[in-house]
Amino acid sequence: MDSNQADHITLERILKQESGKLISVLTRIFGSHNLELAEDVVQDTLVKAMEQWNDKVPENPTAWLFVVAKNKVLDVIRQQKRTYEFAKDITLLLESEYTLHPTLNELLDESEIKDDQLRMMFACCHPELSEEAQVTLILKTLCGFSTAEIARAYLSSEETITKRLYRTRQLFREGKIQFEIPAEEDLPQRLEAILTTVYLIFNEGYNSTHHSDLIRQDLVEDAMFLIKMLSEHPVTNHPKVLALMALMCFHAARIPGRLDENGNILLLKQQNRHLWNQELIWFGKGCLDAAAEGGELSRYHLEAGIAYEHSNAETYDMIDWDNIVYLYNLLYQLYPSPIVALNRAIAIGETEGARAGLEAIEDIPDKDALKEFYLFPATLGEFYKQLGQADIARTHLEEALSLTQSEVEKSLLRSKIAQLSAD
Amino acid sequence: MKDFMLIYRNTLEAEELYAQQSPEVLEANLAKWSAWLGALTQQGKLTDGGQPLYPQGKTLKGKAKKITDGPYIEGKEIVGGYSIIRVTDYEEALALAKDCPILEDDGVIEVREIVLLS
Repeated sequence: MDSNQADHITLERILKQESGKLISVLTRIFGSHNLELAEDVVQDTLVKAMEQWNDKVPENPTAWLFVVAKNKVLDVIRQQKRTYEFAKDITLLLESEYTLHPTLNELLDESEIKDDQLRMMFACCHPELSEEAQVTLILKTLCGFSTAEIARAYLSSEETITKRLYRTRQLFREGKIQFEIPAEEDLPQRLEAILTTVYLIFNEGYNSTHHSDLIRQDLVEDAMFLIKMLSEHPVTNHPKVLALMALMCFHAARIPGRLDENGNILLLKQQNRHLWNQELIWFGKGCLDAAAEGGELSRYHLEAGIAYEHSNAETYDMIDWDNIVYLYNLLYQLYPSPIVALNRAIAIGETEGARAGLEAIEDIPDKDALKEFYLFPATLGEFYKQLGQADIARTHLEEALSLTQSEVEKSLLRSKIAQLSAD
Repeated sequence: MKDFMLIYRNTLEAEELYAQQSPEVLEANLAKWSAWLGALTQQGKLTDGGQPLYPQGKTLKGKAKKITDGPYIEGKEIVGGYSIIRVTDYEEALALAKDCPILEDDGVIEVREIVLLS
């Protein structure tokens, strides 16, 4: 990559993140019912930046964007105050020249913007919205994704995403989605919804189910940007948030070792651990230690604990599988999902052998729910392979092959099937 | 509840001087107005923050529609701006008006009830 390209990528990231800030603060100013107006003004600002920065990027791009956006906001308010009603609590202050500038300056203050970004996150993850809509909206508003980029990331058509956004914005227009930090009694539940959405984005980035690329670095980075924002805000700086951040750090740290030079998946056993990002692991460990204060134990604490065991082992043989099984046991009690049970069975297979692993799978009460999940037959196939029962293994691996859309996962399964015949 | 217009008045000299202040002084002054009207908003008393006016202007008069420069000054002070508040009576309106920043500049605040025509 030459330096021009590098500059270009950084600039794109700056524009995306700043656009997230701007949409948040403009939604605060115009009111959540005017989300589209906020998006339009930010869009105009970005277009102007693209036009004028062609020659030379200003020394402080953020300040430039904010000045331009502020002027556009002034125009909109002065010219269209009879058309729009802005955010209820400040609309009178925006309509009077006595108070317009001071009010805007106050709202455009850095610390206010952090609150607005948080309000935007709560708005995007509002219980009125489907999980799909939440992911789409958070990427669109806070992460600065275009409709086309969202469509690409989730292998969907632009039309589908546009329709989804239209319906979502309708709820904003109708005033059903408040732009506020929830009251204390609602906070835990609302925060949980945000964490689920952020984790969904991260997982899609870390292990793309929709894409020929296994890893979508942009989604990983955006999910980490969102969790960092939550962890830095006093309202949401909860142990659970820090635990999820730790978990994401441990996973992200291993990304550089997950694929070989041809883009094929390397199993944990085959990965070059020297390629893992030690700094990120170390940072994640700090988050996990901080998350331990306060006595809360969430699924994210346990998942981070498990990921840490993997990250911390110097070689594959040094992985403490007993502790991992112990953590999965706790996780399953707290969060009894069949997928957790499946992963627990894999860990049991590592400590006690394939037979015990198969028994653990057999004991999963709701294992029917896993039927469509490629990892279920893939794991069965692996255990039977280890037991030397090649025919049964092949049946399971072939079933797994039919269940995944991911090219890299398919190619991994094919190579396992090929090994069966070779053995 | 009744609407009252608050009319801010000051001498022409004071108004013109104000227009020549440095941006810092202007900003500090505007902050006072903003704080005052912001407090009225929070109490739910503000109906319309109104607008400030330039001291210069044109005046038309009578059937002859004679045009002259400058605000038509009957008294000593010209109108520099206005706001509208909604309160129960003059007593409350005056109590609120006491906090208006124009008084610090030795200006005048005129409180007038808005007529509701039946």
